[in-house]
Amino acid sequence: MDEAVFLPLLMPLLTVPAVHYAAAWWHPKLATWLLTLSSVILSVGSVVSLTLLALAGAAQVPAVASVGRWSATTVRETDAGLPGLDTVAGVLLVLLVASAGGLVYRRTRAISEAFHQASRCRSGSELLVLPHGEPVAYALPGRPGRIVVSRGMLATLDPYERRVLLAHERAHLANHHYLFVAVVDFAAALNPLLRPLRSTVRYSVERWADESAAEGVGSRHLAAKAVGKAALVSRQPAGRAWHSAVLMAATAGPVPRRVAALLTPPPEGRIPMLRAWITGLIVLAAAATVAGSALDAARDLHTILEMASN
Amino acid sequence: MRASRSEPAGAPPRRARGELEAEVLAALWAAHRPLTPGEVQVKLGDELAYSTVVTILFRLHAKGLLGRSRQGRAYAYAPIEDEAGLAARRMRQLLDAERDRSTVLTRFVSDLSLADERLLRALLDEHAGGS
Repeated sequence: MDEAVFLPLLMPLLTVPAVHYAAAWWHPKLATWLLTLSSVILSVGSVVSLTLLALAGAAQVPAVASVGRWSATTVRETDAGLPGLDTVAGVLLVLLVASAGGLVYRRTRAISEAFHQASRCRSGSELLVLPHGEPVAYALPGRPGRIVVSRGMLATLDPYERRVLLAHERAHLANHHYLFVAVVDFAAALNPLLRPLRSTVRYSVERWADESAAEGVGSRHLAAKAVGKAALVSRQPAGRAWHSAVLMAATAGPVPRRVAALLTPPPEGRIPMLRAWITGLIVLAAAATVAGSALDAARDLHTILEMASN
Repeated sequence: MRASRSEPAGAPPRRARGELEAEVLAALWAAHRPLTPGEVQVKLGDELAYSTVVTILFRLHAKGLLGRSRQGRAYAYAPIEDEAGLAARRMRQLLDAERDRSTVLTRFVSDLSLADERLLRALLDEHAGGS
């Protein structure tokens, strides 16, 4: 195997910043899809690479070679890998797959619990109001999903702003945003270099819901005002532990960025910018490279084992 | 170019029945006393016909989401609280739990830092005159 096997492992270093910028410049729906798909490709690519490296190492173990009926020595001579690298790759692979497995387990449980809670609510209305004053609002996925809002949040918004809130949460539910977040989290567990995308996808789905809400109420300005107002009331000293500890390590203030984005013309109304296309091309090229080099490395390993099988 | 230029004069798109019900329910929860259909109509921004509001209130009452009492010639409606209290406790558990559970819930707004707050106020003030 040549150096191509390392490309999928390192490609996120180039792609993550590109995807990050694309998420700011593109329509949030497109950006969400783009960053979810690219994180899947990049993580699958890196898992394939690690697997190949580990397999190439395993093939050199005499016991494995005798089962596979190839010559361990020939494999060792043909494979140009650095000594010890295969072991590192193997250990890394096991750790990453285990952590991703843990994530899938916990997230699946959390999602099924959300579905369970949603189904326990009265079937009469999509809206579930919590009778306390603390301002909270979120979408509870389920079949059907529910919009959960506290009385405190409802009381601080005017009728039009409440409509923005409802439309925003409805968009989360209708577009299954929690799944995009889960997929990117999973990809980041498989390749830790993708971790910055976890907050990017969270921001991106919020923007997507903001744009849907703005369209639903027919005013971007109104949507901006509602998001801003809700954030400011949530800010008030309530400061309960769960409120701050929970959720999304928000980097550079996602709420002001969302409001600013709503106060500018709609994304699709702007002239398609050169930079948006460039970032898109970089992401596509990176994905193609990753897929290509993973395939390449797999073919290499296959050839090596063929040659050693005589 | 796009309709968004003419905001906020442009009438919002028509809403589905479920959406209207959610809005009416939200308005009743936001108020701290029972409301008559006329009052609900005002609280919604006067965009719905009186008869529509009456129909929605009647439907929500039939579903057991609203209680009502006579007030003069009309009924006054208020949300039923105990069921919501139960749900609230369960929801709190969901929120309190480990990261993965709360990640499944997409929140309307996340926490603001002090710098965020200042920036946000500036943004909103700047555009306050706009409409």
